[in-house]
Amino acid sequence: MGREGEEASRLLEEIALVEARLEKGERVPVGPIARAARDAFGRPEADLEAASLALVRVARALERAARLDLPEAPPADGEAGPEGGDGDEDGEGPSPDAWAERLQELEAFQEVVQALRAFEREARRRFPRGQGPTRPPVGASLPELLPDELVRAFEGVWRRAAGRRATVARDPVTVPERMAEILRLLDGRPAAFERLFRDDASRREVIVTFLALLELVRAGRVAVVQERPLGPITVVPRSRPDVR
Amino acid sequence: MNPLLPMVEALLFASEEPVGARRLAELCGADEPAVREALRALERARARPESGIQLELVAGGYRLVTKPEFAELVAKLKGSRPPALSPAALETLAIVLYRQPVTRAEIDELRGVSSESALGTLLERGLVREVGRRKTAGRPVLYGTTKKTLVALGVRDVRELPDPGALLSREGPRQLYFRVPEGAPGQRRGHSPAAPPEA
Repeated sequence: MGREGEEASRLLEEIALVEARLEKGERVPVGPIARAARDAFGRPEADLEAASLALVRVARALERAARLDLPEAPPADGEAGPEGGDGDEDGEGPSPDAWAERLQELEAFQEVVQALRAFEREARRRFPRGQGPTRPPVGASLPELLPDELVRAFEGVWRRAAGRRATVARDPVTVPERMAEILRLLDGRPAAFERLFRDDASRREVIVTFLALLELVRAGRVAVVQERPLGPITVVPRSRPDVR
Repeated sequence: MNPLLPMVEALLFASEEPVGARRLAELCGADEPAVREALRALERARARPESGIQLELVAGGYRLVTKPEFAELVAKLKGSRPPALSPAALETLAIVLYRQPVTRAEIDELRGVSSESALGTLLERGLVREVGRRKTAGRPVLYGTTKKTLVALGVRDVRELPDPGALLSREGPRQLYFRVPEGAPGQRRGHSPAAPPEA
């Protein structure tokens, strides 16, 4: 474990101590652990998973500490007192017991997630037949297009769609949906730019499709290449850069 | 040499999906115990250092995969390693896995943030699918996992996955925030990794 890992581990232990004292009903200042969490995880290189877990725990501790400072409302006739139920129904938030249980379950869940991560990491080291395309790295032989060249290609499709009339209605196609459709269409293989647009696509669909393509390019999920000037444009799927 | 061994190997080589022992037996015109014996022989043969591939039992079926020690080498050929799930997608997958069938609103509530993007990724990769609609107001879509989920995690069946009930039982039995579905991790303990698959 590196220095950052030890620091994070120590911080989580400190948070656990504060949680335990709050659970007993002690009034404990949460500010110090909140500042420590900011210092430990406020760096760009911080472990996001550990940071999010610490943040959730500090936030819950703050909520718990704040509730301790509120006067206890007397139970209404016929209703359960502070010990009854988990408190969610009346908008008062979880009771101390339910709060502690959920916290514990959140930790258990994080352990499950870590275990699944280990399974997945190991599985990714074994390649079955036919998994993923075998291809030269993108850019090795085909130059990537500049955005304005892509815009010119879009203008061509736009012009074709311009003359069409359609019923004005809210088109259910959204950019995220279209992004998923494009990736499904590519299915791990390069495809011609024109193929992304149906011949009878409405203007809105053309726009949404183009925006989806730009989003995919921005996210590094696809590259757009052209073998020669004014030649056909090809959309090439890439592995995700935001995943390990 | 076991005469079924090359037949089984050929079938697994040609298949892009895991194949169950029963199906292999049907294809080979042999009985299942004989095919299992051939699979054991194939596993031994492929485990030798001169082989770069190994027999793997995943999602209830068998398949041939490259050995993990050659992961970086094969990644050079493929251009990249298979993409890993982001932390958000993995969290979402874990919730779907343990609470299925589950709605997106329920996933969001558990995670405390929107899971739209993560769920989209999982749907796109076939790790999660729509399994129906809840008969409540708005009829929200219910999501569940697929066989591909087990393949992505590289496990034989759900019994290999961690059991949240066991994790929580350290403090004694009580109502779980995470419901353990029928047949999910922890439902049947004592599974031997060497046991043959049920597929």
